[in-house]
Order: sequence, then structure tokens, then C-alpha cells
Amino acid sequence: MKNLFLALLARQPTHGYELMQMYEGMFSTVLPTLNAGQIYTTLSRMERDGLVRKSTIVQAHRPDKRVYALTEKGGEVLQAWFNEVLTGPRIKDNFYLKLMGAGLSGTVDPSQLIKNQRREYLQTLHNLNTLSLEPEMTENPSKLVLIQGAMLHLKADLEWLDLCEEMFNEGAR
Amino acid sequence: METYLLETKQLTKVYRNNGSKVHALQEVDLAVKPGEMVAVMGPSGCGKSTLLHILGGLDNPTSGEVHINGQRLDKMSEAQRAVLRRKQVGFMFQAFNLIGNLSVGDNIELPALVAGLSVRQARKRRDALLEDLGISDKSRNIPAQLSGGERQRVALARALVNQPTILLADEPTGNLDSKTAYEVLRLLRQTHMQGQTILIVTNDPNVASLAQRVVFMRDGRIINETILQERDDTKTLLVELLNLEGG
Repeated sequence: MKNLFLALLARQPTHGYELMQMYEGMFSTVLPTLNAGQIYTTLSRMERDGLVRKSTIVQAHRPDKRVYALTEKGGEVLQAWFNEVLTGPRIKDNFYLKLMGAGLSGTVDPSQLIKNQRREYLQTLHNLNTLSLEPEMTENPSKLVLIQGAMLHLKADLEWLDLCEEMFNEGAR
Repeated sequence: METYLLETKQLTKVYRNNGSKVHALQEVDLAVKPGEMVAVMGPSGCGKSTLLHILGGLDNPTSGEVHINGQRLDKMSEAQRAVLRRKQVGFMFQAFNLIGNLSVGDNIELPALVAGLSVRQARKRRDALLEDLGISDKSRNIPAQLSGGERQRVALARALVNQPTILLADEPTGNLDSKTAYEVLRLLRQTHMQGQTILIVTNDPNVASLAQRVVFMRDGRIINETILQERDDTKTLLVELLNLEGG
């Protein structure tokens, strides 16, 4: 969240409420919702760390407006985030160990595990597929591309299950 | 008893190859309800295309039954099957199979004329489909002047022109780039939403996952099937799935 805030503030100084609106507008469907408290906690932490500077604008008949601006250090931290390349493949596989465990235990048929897992992946793929085909997606390419990325990963997971199944079937022969 | 639009019982197909027998289909029982979208999934050589060809009357089973809309397809003569193909079945292939020197409009209209519709009726259906699929302005073009996605639209319009009992699609997005494939999936979903019964054979999980039911085939047999549920609330789906961290 910190880095996204830095990115939003890099455009122009903004007050907290506006920041929340921008965040909601862009990320409400892909990131957990934030309440005002979380936003201000994050901002004050960033202020403490010298990433943003707060200035207060006194308003005659309304509460004071707190405007946040990026500091030089904040700009550097943001740039460092951009420069950092993500390492390693995006793999988080707990199924592999389960499958191996099933083979070792002899108490459960690994191919049944594969079937169940395939069903689950296909259902998720179905949900994403349906979502990706909703009419609003044509006007929301940044959301669509995220969904399509997730779909490609699921497709790979499904193909990998085929390989697992083949391995067990050949072992059985 | 449930009524099925399409049903096979113990469907078997054996090819003879240099004296040895190849079992392309073995005792396949498959039933499709009206309005259902079913995907048959499996690796190449699993028999899914043979199944599709038999269901569409393009090939004969060795034994077993095929019921389509209350008729016994396996008992029909070649001539009867040809009539059935024209009137009850719509085909959509990976390679579009459009006629290159006919205009888009004529490609769509031709099967309707062959099936015995008057020129006026055929034209009316053609125009409605062109409109529906958003290609009205391409009616006078020839297929070569169209993009891949537009060609598959024409292929779909042609498949639907005789208001078939069932639409059979064989790898409908095969060889298409991902953007065009997405467009084709959108069309298939739209067609299904309008009440069309659809059977797709594919090895692409993305295509299969569009269906309400996925049937898995291996070595000529149905080994498993899964029913896919519609989720009412897709709003929080991405948040749950992606677990993205905002940095």
C-alpha cells in the first residue's frame, strides 16, 4: 500500500480523502478495501519515515485540510521499488507435497487427489472466465489483463496436473 | 425421465488399420440437455473429434446409439443423415472452413438455401445474424478481407443460420491469437445465453471452463466429468484470489 501511495503522490500533492478515492477507484476490485483509519495510519507512518510531507491548510468554515506531498526520499524509495526486479517464478505449490505424500502413504489414490484438484482449478477458471467476459471489461483493460494473467497461471496448473496424472498412470503399469 | 436433446448409448467406433483394430470410441454414454453447454476435454487422439463427427452425422459409429432430438442418427441412411446435418446441426471448426470466393453474406446464406429455405427467408436470417454478431458492414467482403476474429464470426453465423438443434464446435479458438480467442469465447457465451445448446470439443482449459459441464476423455472413454457452478458474487473474487500486496 505504501508504494502505491507514493506513486499516487508522485503525480501531485493530495489530501487524504482524495487519496482514498483514487485508491478506491483504481483498486477496489483487486485489493482489500481500506477504511479512512488505515489510510491515515499509513500516511502518518510515511510522514514519520520522511517519505511524505504534510502541510495543513486552514479553512474558515470547515475542518483543516491536510495535504500530503512526496519528499525527495519518498521519490527515491519509489524509484527503488520500480528498479527492483521480481526474482524467481511465481510458484506457490502446496499440492506437489500432498501428491507425493499420497503416493508414499498408500492410504489414498493419488489420481483421486488429482481429479479433485482439477475440478477446483477448473471451477476457479470458470469464475475468472465468466468475469473476463462481462461487458464492463471492454472499458477496463487494466482489470482484464490482470484476470487474463491469473487465467494463464491456472491453465498452466491444469496442464501440470495432466503431467502428474500421466506419471502416476505410467508407474501403475 | 429427463429429456435430452442429444444422447449416446454405448457408442463405439473401431477403425481398422493394417489388420489391427483401433478403438477410437469405447462405450461412450453422453447426454446433453436442451440449452446446456458441454465441453468434452482430452488430449489429441482421445477420441473427442471422432465423437463430434459422429454426433454431427459426418461419420458412422461401429455400434451403439445416437439420439438427436428424438431421432436415431445411427439408423439413418447417408441421405437422411445429410438432411439432418443441414437442419439440426451447426458446425464450427478451428479452420473456419469458409468458401473463399463467396462473399460473407453468401457464405452465411448458402446453408439456409441448401436446407430449402426461400431466398427471402434465408436473407432475413442472414441479416439478423450479421447484425447480431456485429459484422453487418462486412456482408459484401470476401473472407480473405477479414481478420481472424471476423472470420470466426462468419463461421458462427453460418453454423447458426438453420437454427440448429445443437451447435458443435471443434477447437473453436485453435490457432487464434489470444485477443481473437477471447472474442470467440465472448461470442460462444453470448450464443449460449440466447438459449443455444452447444457441445465443444477442446484441449484448451480456457475454452472448456466456459461450459456448464466438462466431460473428460482418455483413450476413447469418458473417464470423469465435472459440473461447474455459477458464482453469484464475482465482486470479491479477485481480491480473494490474487492476494495482491500493494507494495
